Amino acid sequence: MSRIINSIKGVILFSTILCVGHCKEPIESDLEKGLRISQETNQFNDGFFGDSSETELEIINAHGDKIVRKMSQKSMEQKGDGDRSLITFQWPADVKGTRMLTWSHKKKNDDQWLYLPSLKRVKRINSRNQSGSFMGSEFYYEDLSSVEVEKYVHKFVKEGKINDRDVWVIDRDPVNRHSGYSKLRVYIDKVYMNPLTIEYFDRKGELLKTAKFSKYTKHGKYYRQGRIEMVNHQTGKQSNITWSKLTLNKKYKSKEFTKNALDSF
Amino acid sequence: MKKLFVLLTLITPVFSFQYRFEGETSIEARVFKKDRFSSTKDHSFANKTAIKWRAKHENYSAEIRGFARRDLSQKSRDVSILEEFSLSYEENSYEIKVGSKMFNWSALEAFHPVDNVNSRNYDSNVESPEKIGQNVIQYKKLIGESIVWDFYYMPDFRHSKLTGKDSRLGLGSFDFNNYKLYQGNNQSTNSSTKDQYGVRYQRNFEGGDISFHYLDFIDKTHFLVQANGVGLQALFPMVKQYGGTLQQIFGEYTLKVEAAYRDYDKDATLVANGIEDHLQLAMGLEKTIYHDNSQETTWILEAQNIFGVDEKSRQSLDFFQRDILLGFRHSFNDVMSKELSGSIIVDLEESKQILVSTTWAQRLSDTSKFKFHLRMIDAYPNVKVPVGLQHLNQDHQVLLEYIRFF
Repeated sequence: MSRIINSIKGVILFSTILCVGHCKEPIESDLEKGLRISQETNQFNDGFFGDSSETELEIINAHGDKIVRKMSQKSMEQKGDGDRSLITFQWPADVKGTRMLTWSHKKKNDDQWLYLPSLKRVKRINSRNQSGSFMGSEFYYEDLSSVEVEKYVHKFVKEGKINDRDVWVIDRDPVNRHSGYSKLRVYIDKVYMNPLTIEYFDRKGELLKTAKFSKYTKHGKYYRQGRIEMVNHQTGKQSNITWSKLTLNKKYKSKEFTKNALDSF
Repeated sequence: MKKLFVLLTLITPVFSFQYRFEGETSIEARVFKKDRFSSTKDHSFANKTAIKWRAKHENYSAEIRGFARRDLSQKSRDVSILEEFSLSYEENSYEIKVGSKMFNWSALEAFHPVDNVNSRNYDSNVESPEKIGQNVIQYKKLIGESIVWDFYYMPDFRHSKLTGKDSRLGLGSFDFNNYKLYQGNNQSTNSSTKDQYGVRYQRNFEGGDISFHYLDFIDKTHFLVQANGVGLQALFPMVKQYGGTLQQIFGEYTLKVEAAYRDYDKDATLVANGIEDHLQLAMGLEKTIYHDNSQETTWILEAQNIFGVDEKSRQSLDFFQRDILLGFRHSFNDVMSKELSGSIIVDLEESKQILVSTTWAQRLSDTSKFKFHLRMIDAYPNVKVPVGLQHLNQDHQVLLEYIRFF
């Protein structure tokens, strides 16, 4: 009998220790968890120095008419601030040589310049309104800007699966009131540490677009998508971006991402 | 031109340059409203071909860029212009460029007080005449990521190409047959060499870009017109120009400023012809509205004024001497990249002077484009000798342009 009582005491003591140990840890709220996951994914993707790629943007209207735009792109990480990127348009022929330089910032509006080769002119672009269409596509400028944790309020929703891959589902509310969205629901692959799907909700809270990320490839520790298909549910239009010749760990000089460099080779 | 292509083809593989070549050829059909002069051509049909070649080998780069126009109905518009023919060497923090260069320092869309380094072909487009390359030795110094100093030495004089007597953009029945450098005191020279200097400072900061410049150079925009027995000659004076530009984001608006103060040598002939010290200032606001259907409209409001001279001098100094512009550019952002733009320029001094223009542009294929341009100019000349925009009174025109890229 005393052996049974001692066993019960032992269980109670063990449970108490467990409980005390557990109760010492604060319970993580959905906001904290969402922020933590976003910070972790961002940190995981940091440190690539610079990258370069060739990009093909396919724009399809509601009637199925299609046009392809080609670009080359390079970007460079900045310590303590957003990335810098330079896009050179290659096709169609009438925009060939046009360049767009973006200095992304974590909290402030991005600095952005457009180089018009026919005039040899550098024009500053007002980036405050984020919801402008990029080259007539279903991608907004803010969709293509570097992902900075500070640009959103993050909220963990749930864990789930997409195509048998484990994902975290996070809601991101843009901090910038000039964003074209009220919310982004992001499905982040736990291995790729990058999105598989993003659902974009318009300012009225209705589902506007869905982006599906696919063809991930591994580059060192990093995974990068090879394709994004963006469908606008309200207009029936679609735009797809396909990457090729992606190279990471490129060591650029900072002068390659300056206004002065827009008119260089 | 053929020799140039052969040369480029030969040197490219030899030096294993990275290179880019692009070009376009266009057919322009232009019809003006009939005027009272039998000497002027009221229509033109032209072909323009432009090429651009750039190459880079380690720290060296080269650029050649130019165009040629052949007008079937107006021989005086035939032209071959070299806009850029330069060789550059760059290191981390500096760059040296030697050769012919096309400058563009402008910040505004319509009025460009500081975009006057290059000579111009005035028989092209009244709003933005084509540029002629300026020979220059340029030393560029980069300081950090945001500051650039440029130092220029320009050794020669390339005059602007003025209109022929058959041009609807010209001075009626007069033809320019000589271009000279004006030396002051009624003296001029046919010499094409003249030392000219310039320095420019550029800086970008949060939400803005600013630049300042000083030029001691030949003014190819403001010139004396003198009869020389068989026609007209243009005499181009030296000028010291202090100027600058600003592009600054304010919320949804972009503020743009261009200013140039021109300081001429004190000369009675220049003063008698309205070429006096003056400040040309242009300011503009731009706002882009993004529509729910992915289309976008950019609204432009710009104004320009010339200070420091009387009304008569002001009118002779620029087509747009005290003017305001309201314009828009609507991009449909569709698969054919359709775009409609339009503007109205009203003279605030001569309230009856109005220039209205509108352009429709769209792609026809991945390598071709079509433009339809309509322009109306009512300048109501009420004087014997027209000045400024009055020269172009009733020069209404329709322009169709088909462009093929290669």
